Amino acid sequence: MSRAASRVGGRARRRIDVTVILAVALPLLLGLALALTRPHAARTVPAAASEAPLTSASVVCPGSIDDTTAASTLTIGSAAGGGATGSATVRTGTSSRTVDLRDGRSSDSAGSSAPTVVTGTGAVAPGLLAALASASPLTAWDCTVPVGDQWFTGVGAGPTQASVVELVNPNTGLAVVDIDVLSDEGLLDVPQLRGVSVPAGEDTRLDLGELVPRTGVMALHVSVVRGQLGVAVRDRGERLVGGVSTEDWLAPQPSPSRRSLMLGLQPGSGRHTLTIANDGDSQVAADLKLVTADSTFAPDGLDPIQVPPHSVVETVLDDTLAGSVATGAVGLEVEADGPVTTSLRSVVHGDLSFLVPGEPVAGDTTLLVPGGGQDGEKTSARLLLGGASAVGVATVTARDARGATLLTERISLGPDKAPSLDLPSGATSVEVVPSRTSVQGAILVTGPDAGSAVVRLRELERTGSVPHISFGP
Amino acid sequence: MDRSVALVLVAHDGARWLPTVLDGIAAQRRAPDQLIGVDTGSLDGSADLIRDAFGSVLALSSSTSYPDALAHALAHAGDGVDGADGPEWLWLLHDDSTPDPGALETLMIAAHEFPEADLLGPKLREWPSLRRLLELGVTISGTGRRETGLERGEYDQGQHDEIRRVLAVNTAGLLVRRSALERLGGLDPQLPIFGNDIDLGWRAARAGLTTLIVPQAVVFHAEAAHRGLRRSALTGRHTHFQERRAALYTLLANSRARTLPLQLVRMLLGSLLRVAGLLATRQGGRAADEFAALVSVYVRPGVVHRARRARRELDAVPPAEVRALLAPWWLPYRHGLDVVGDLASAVTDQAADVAERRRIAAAEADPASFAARRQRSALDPDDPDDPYSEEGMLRDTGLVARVVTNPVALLLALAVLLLLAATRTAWGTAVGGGLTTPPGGVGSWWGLVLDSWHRIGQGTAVPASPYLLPLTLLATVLGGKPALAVSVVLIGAPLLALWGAWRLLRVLGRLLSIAGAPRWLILWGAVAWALVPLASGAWSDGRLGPVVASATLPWLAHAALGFADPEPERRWRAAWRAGLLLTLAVAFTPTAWLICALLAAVVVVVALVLLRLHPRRSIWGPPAVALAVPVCLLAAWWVPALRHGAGVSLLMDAGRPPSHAIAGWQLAVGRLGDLGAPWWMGSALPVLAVVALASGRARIPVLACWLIGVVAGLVALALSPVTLHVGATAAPVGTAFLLVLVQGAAIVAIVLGAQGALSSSPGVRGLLRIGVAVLLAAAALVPVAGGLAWAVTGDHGELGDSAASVVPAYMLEDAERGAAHGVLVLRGSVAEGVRYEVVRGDGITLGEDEILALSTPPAAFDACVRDFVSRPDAGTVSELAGSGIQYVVATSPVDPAVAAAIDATGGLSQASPESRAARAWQIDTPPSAARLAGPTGWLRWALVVLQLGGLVVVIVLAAPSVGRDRRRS
Repeated sequence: MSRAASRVGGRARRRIDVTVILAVALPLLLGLALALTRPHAARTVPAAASEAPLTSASVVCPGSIDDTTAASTLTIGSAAGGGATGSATVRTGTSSRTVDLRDGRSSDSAGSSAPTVVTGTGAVAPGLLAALASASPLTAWDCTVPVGDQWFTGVGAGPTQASVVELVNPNTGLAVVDIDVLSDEGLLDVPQLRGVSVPAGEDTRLDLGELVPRTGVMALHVSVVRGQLGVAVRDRGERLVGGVSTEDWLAPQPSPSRRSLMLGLQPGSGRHTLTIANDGDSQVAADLKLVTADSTFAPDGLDPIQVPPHSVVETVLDDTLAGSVATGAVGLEVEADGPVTTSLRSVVHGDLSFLVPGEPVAGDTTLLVPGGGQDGEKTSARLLLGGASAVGVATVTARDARGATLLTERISLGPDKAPSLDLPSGATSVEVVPSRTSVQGAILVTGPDAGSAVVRLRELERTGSVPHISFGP
Repeated sequence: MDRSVALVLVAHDGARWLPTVLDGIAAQRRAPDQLIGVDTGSLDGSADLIRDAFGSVLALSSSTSYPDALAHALAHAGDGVDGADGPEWLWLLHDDSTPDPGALETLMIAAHEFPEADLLGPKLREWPSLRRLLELGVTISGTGRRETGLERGEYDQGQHDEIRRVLAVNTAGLLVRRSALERLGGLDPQLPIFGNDIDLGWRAARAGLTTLIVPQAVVFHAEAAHRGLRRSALTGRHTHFQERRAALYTLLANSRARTLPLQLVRMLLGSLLRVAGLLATRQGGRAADEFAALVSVYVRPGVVHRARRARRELDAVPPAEVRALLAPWWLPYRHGLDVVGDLASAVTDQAADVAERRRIAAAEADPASFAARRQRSALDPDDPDDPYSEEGMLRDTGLVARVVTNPVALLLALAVLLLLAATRTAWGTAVGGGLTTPPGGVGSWWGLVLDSWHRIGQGTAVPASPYLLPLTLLATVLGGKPALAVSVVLIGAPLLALWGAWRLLRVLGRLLSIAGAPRWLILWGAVAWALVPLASGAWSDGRLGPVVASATLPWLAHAALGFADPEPERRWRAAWRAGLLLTLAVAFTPTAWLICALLAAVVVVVALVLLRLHPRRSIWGPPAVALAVPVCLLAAWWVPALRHGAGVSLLMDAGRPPSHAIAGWQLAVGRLGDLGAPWWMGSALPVLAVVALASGRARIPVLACWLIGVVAGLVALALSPVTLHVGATAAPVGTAFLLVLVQGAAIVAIVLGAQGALSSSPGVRGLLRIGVAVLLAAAALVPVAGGLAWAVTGDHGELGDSAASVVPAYMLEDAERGAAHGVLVLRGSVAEGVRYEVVRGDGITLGEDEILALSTPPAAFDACVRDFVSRPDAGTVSELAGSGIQYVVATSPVDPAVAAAIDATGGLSQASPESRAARAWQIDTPPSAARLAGPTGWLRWALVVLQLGGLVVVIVLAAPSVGRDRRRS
């Protein structure tokens, strides 16, 4: 073997070595590269909405309960803040007028049997307030912006209790609503309450007594599927013997919840009926508690109320509330192991009133005092605060119709407490500024003949959500 | 035989042929009665040769044309001959045409036999082959083409030997009655060299004279002037110009008055078409000649007019009699078809076998080399297995028999049928998934391609995606039907991939060994490749990007093999071809450019550093050109895209965005996201590609495939963290080309590895070896048989025959009335953000979807929509109408807050949505399109001209060389 031949052999060995190394290295390198290649799948980037002051707001008031119009009052006010001024359009049926608004002030006018739409634009759109009140019978209704989905619990369609749903379309387009009826026998199939359309600018009254004639309590789940509707339920109680009838508004509840605090309780003799509706798929047990200024307690002898799925249960609390245990109670709390909606229907001295759970308020809010400016001598108003989530204070300012401060008070708040404050005569609006806690509240108006009406504190519509806008599919 | 004949021999620099010609004349059995020699200023002693033979010669200047020379000869006919009348016949010969000894005798016998004949021509055979037929009488076609009725290079076997009447005969060997020639006025001086024979014959026919072809008389003709062997002052360098000018002049001078206007238009259009055709086949000189001939005839109508007047005076017979002698009307179309067929076969054959040429070049460079030895042994005619051996040829009996008896051909046919069945969804309209509905007509695609401003959405300058141009061209060819074009692409792509992969694997196999890979192995590889778009799920999701990329890649790789061609000229041709194919791939999958640039860099570095090749321009130039071609041709896309904020489109695949995210393991098994056939079917390919590395003989080419895979994998890794923000969507980079490339590289590696393993002499033949082979074969069958079966069952993805539209038909009908009638489509919710798009015209069609996704509407319109969905008022609504919105559609699920807000607004009416869950409104104010208009940029036009012009130039440069066809004079 020559030297050249051995060199060739050596070179060949070296080349094989290189290819073998590559044959191992390249697959490993590719495998590593591919193992690390993990691109993100395509996704739509979610973008949160921002809040911006309202530039236009409409609140809807139903037609007044008292047909003698002189007895009902429409109060319009503004809690826009910052001394904002402006004007609102008040439209009743085909007539419309303009009302000047100023932050902190309110003005009264005669209510109408026809629904009224109050529209504020510009600076006075945030915190636009309107309330409808009547003295005989004593009723109060807090006019709100149209809500798409809400519950009315404790309606009736029988001879002793009949409810009427009033639908008001404030807009220029058709509105359609679906109403689910929940009864003690489960969900009722009522085709007349599905797809109820209300033409633009018109209103419709649905008399449950005609549409669902039956005894027994019911709950309504009202979903506006198209357009906007102001929805109100007026309830009429009839005493079959004696022919006395009484009427009041049933306030809505935005959604079922596990803990429902109803402030504005007036213990004493009378007819007190608690209604609990469970639209869930499982049975719910609900405990009752009484709320006083200093404590919240469960009275003895009350068993938990069992509410079957998709059902409504009515419980008579006459004995409990008439007894001494209830003395000093200002509210009733229902604590359930599932989300429920509730209401307490009371007929005391021939006057019907409803207590419906309110919503916690965390920020500055203002409530018009029903009939505050009209019959200050005859009715008295009391502010009840409760349901605080933590220890805190609420600054309460009561003002008269011209915006003058009548009273400013700091009220200590704490869980399981329900302090109250008598509002001075002439107070037409109450501003509540909770601090360090959220709070629920109500104004209880009592008439000279022991009738009562309750309006609840709520968050004011001051801002609107402005979605993040992006272009693309 | 008592009639006298004068021979007229005209010479010009014909000393090369004259001795033979003079010998031929001297050898005539029937000698001419008078010999007239004419010389037109020859410089090579032709005059002396003739003078020596004939005793005298008419010496004329070199500018004398053939008609003039003949006229001079005619004037001297009878000089020095007894009998006052002079000769009755003239026999014309050229200095490059030599007669058979019996030529004149036979012609004279025919003249006697057919006394009505005034012009008689002999059979012309090629000189010097002497066997091939040149002419047996000629006629002219409607396009001025000289028609002989013969096949090119046809041998004379007496197959045309009957005496018959023809329109004309060549002047070489023409026996013409002197009186007839004088009556016709001789040859037309306007036709100095070419075409004067046809003109003479045509005039003779009009005058009622008879021209006969006498095939028994034979003259051999060298066609020196036509073939450019002889250049005179008359022919110049531009033979083609003279021929075309003569043809046009002859047609115009002789055609009937009634058809003249039509003829003028036809010849104008026909000539322009020929110019285009010649340019397209890189015959610029001939194209210039063609055009110059057209101009020279058309700018001098007086000349034609005088010629026509002179010919009218000759008319003696009805035109129908003359027309019967002309070529049939359909002949030019048949020639056209022939040319197309030739071109097609040249295109498919070109660069067919770079392996063969490399081997030949290697053998030529070193005849003692291994390459040369292998070539010699492979071309051994005694090898019975060689299909090219004589025996192999004999065994090949007919196409049908070959196909039926060949299992590979049968399997291939079966694979084609199965692929056709698998793509049946695309028969008819195909939409869905990543494929938006194509527009109704190709006009809107042309609009997208050409316009700088699109009235899509709120108007945008974002350019159309690059893949739209090839689709538009295809749709135009298919009769303006975009839907058909999409179907053709979807159905054709797997078949083209099959074909391309077959060709690629065949050539690669021959690069590895001279026998190439076995056919069944190539079949496996080609079918596996054709299944890539189908099994990956790209096809059934309507993703045109990977579908077209998989069809283009094998052809691109095949073209790129041309970079290794031994001939520089072919390397450059390969550069343009690869550039064109790369442009197509980049148009559908833009990341192809990036990866190809990297691969080219790797290859050039390997060639220059490892192989120590001299860094010549012809080595690094072709890949550079191939990479530059897409940059230039697609400038009309990427330049405006970068200018108008749509730069992300440079990383997006064709198809409705967003494209699928392809994880690394999905690249390996060839699956597009979670689509496609079960992943385990695709896992056989990477496993087999690893096994292919074990093949010692083919390890280097297999390693090359792996190197491609590594580069692709690294690019995928580098691109994976990149997120493209397209509107509200965060999309991954389109890496479908990488998937196709990785799969293709794996298939090639497997085929080459298998070929290497099969060709290596087995050391051990044992059960183990057989077992391993069976196992590998079974593994190889999984992706192909399984993939085919999966694909054929069909109905896998969203691709179907109709697409769900969120916009009701009545709104689209309105929208088609004009750009003002737009439909605002809202999606999403207040909490998570609202997305919107605007539908105009016939909806968001294929091509528009990507423009729309990449465009950014004006901020004012954004704000208007924001106000509209959150706090609408009458002002917002009228602002929308002013921005060209007539309808608003909120798709399901509708955010109640949005719907309620819109419901609460005046100026809108409820409209019927497409589904119950959706909502729709109509804006009462009449909409206006005023704000949708945009500027027209000159840059756009420049880029479009660059694109379309560049495309033509690149196609011409990439096209194969077509043999110049010869015409005779």
